[in-house]
Amino acid sequence: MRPSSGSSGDMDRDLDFLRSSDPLELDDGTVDRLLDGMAADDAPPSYRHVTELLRTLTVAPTAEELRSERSSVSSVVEQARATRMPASSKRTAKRRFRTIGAALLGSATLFVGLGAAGALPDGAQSLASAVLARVGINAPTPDSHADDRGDTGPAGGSNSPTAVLESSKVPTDTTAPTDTAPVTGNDRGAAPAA
Amino acid sequence: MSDRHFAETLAGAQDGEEAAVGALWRAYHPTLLRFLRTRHAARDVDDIASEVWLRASRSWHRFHGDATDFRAWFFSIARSVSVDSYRRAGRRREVLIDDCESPRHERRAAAEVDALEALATDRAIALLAKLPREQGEAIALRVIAGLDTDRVAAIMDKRPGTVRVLQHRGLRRLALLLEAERARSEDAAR
Repeated sequence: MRPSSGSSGDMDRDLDFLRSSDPLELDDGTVDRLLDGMAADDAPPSYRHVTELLRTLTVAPTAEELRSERSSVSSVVEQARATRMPASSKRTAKRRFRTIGAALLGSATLFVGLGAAGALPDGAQSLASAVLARVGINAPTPDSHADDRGDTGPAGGSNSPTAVLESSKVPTDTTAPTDTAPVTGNDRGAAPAA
Repeated sequence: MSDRHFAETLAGAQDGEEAAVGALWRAYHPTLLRFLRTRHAARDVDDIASEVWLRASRSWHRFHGDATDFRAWFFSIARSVSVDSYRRAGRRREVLIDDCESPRHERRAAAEVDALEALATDRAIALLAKLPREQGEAIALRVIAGLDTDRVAAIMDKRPGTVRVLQHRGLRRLALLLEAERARSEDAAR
């Protein structure tokens, strides 16, 4: 090693000398190329054996390494199928949940709509009336049904499907007094006849 | 494996098709074994490799990506299982050259050329196993698993620059180990 005179420039030169004199020193590019499989002839002399060593790590699989293929693949297949099943079951369950949810929501909407319109059968109407009254919606009771029937006669079509559907389209005014009778199919049906 | 072929193979494996699982196994198992042998005693490697495959097959139906992504994903599982195994055993790597070589000697007569190459691979793995763990890991993931430094860094949860330093030090140490080995065999020959 050369003696150092102590100045900063000399120190840099000394460090360069040390670096260049280290046969194992590598720059990043050479490290990458060595790891990528650089040919031994192209490698720095101190690393020729290293390149050969690294090459042996990437040779084709040996029979020993593939020995357990049959048993290993069987157990992996079994596991993969077992894992796949719950996934599909989960999807089916989710779909069922969504269908049931939609059906319940639809039924509730229909119940509220028909209840508010007073178009349910007597038993259901009294229940709907009681339930809707709790949430501040005034729905007709079966008694008002009877009044309607009395007014319009048994030939009226208040229970006909068309009437029910049309009645349910009437906007529900939650502040309307109970004695405000909903528009019925009979009322509508009377106009053309008149 | 081309990306298209890989995508078809992976889809088959996700559906539990035996041929597709077999193709994935043949493509990745040998490299998995080599990687694990740089970190564990030979007697533990088969069990750890089985655990890696089971974990991978449990979650590969959620995997999306190409062949390189899959390799990185697979080896991140391998590393994680390996680390768990260390924790369970409460001990460090204990690989010995003899550990790797003994089963080979029994089979050499059957396929001498194959066995000689395998011996060379065993020797390389044994030397890699002598490196400090992170240096060995940084080189094994790069060379054996065939991953670039950025992916190695992601798997090791380190910065790419740190991984490059580990790789450089590992290569340097390998060169010194090989030199020491050569000097010993020359002494023995005298």
